[in-house]
Amino acid sequence: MLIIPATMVARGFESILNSVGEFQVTSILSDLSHNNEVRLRFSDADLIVMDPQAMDFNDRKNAKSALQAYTDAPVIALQTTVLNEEYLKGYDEIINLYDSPSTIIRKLRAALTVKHEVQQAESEELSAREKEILVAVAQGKQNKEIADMFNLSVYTVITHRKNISKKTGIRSVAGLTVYAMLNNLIEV
Amino acid sequence: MTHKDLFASNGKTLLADLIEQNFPLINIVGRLGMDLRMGRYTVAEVCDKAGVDLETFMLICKIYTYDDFVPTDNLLDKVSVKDIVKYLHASHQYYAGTALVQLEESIENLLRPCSEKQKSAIWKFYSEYSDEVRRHFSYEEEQLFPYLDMLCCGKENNGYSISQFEEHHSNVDEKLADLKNLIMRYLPEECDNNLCMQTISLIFHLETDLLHHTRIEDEILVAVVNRIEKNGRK
Repeated sequence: MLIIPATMVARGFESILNSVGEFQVTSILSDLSHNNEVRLRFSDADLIVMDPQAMDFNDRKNAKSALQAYTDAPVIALQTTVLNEEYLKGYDEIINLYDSPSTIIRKLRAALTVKHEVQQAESEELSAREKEILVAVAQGKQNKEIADMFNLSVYTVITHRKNISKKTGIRSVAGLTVYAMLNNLIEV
Repeated sequence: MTHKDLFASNGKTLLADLIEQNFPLINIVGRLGMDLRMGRYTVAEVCDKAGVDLETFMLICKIYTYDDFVPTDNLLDKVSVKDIVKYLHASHQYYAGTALVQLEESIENLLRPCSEKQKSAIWKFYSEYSDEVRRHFSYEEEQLFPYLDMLCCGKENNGYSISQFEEHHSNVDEKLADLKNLIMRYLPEECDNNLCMQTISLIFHLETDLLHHTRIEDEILVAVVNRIEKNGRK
């Protein structure tokens, strides 16, 4: 999906992708008005290429996080003019107006791979270590105690807990206890 | 009709048109004691009959309709704190007297085929949640609302201030979201599918309504009262 205000640039980008064949433009938005945000939410694009200028001036600094509310797809900045460097932070990749077709394709591929690796780690079941930590949490143990039990740093325990919540969809300690019980990880 | 006209501050929209555009607004109409049978009248007329401030009604409708709407200072200056409190109070009654009771019944039926252990674990979780929400409501009813009454009459305050409310404003949505996920993802297979769907829709409904409720507290009430505490009522 492309989010590019200038029609000529958007069409040019599309024709480069068409001539190479590997990527296909699913849709083009000229800006992020309210209606377009909704279309973005329902889009099934694997990648988004956006000219930072498509965002309102105020939102440009947080463009990436604003988009994350609507899509999981990696977002690549298309730099068409000289921009404040701050506006380019946070994007998964930056494409320059003068990049050759092969460079563009390479950058698109790179952004896609990084995202896939992250997602794979997310979608799996709880690991053995995560189950152990979940049981300890359900028993009412504090992060520090858990860290000592398993010889981990508190920081690692917190990361495990974040992953547990992400995988199970459950955040509160009381909720995790019920989860552990329903899955026969603990006896009540 | 565009949304901009729909919420026009002159209140010329028909009540029926307003509800048709965004059905959940029906909750607000009921809670402010407005008459739904007056659908053919304009919002201004219905508000007038119910003694509700038009601008405050429209503001609540906008918060309810747009997730990212934040009122300007100009709008906040015109808000009727009395009507906001009326709305919040009626919402509390609805949650405690209807929504939570329905949910409770639904969960009870749903869990019937489960083992005693499973039943008691989920039930305990639900009761803790429901107690926590009710405590939260009674705190507002007993501490916050009387304070707002005094503030609106221009009386001296009793040492309370809205910042204490903000501190006390705990986050109970996390547990409701957990309940939803426990039921959607991890319920034993013996449970009835229809009852499961019913319970899940009740939770979604309550969750959305509570979200708006919190936004009305944060974006309108806290903001307005902060301004009154600072500058006095104009």
